[in-house]
Amino acid sequence: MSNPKVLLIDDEEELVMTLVERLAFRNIDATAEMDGHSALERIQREKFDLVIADMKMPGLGGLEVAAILRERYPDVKILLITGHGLLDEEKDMNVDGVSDILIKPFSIDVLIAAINKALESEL
Amino acid sequence: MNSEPDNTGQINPEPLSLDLAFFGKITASVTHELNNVISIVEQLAGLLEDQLCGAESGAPLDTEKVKSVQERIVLQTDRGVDLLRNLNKFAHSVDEERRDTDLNELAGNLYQLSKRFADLKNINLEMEAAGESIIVRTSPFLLQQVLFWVLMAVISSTPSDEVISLAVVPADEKAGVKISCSTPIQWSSEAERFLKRAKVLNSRLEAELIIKESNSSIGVCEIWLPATIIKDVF
Repeated sequence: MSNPKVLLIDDEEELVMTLVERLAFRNIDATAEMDGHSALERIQREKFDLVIADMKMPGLGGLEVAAILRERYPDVKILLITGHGLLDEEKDMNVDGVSDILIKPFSIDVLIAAINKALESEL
Repeated sequence: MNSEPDNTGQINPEPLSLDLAFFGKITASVTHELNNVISIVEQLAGLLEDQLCGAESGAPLDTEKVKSVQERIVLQTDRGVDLLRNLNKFAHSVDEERRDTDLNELAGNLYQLSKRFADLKNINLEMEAAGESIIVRTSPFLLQQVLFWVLMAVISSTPSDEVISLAVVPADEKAGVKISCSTPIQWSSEAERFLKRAKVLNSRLEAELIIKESNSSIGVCEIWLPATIIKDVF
């Protein structure tokens, strides 16, 4: 997919803004929102190919955002990120409609690989 | 690790499991935040690398950008140092069973450690220290635990966008910590569980724990330390 549109959602503003800059450096059109509600409002107005959401945020967490997206925007691909130390079986858990769960901290290469995998997936 | 059911038919948690639950909850929360700090520093360092890669490929090096990224890294390392310092103070609170403790400092440290739980509910947690130092001789670990579970009860019963204040208050020969809310509180079922933990722990602390009924907002929970344990107010 050429120039995919990516929306990052995390209440750690510095993290998402830095990722937006780094993705732009790699020709990925990314933008950010700091909470689930603002993200859903943004998705109503703009079309995104992929949403990357932190699992734990004030208000709506990533899992809740993913559930809403699955229902309202089934074409949007979803990646989750988390700072929680997950058990191996949790890392491998299949969340309906979610292509992958990345554990923070992750390198930009890992993120790019996950983005590519999500955009190519048929979820 | 539960003891016999009490007269309400509920199982009373044993003190050791409460201590571990408290340690786990605080450690998980702080390390989660530290993980965010490390993630940010890693990405900022990567952003510097991106800038240098661009310069090596012939693009002009934006020195203002490099300076700004360096400043952002310093801010995050300062944040990480504060988090580690608070966690370290918390870990040392079990060093001695009882010791002279500055109540302002103890409540301030607990405020720092608990703020994220309030943030996650979009609640603004505020801390008001007493105007003077209040030194109490107590178990800092136990006192922090009682305060923490009481605070968790208030957080779980407070709607989003409200304010919870944690105030250290000297009164005659007693000293207390008062938790108030910007709106009348309705105790949640989860709060009852947290308050039960606080009561079990408070029986070891021997402080006076006052929990108001639903619909109050000022001083919904108060913890008063016996006058005999106050060594100095200056």
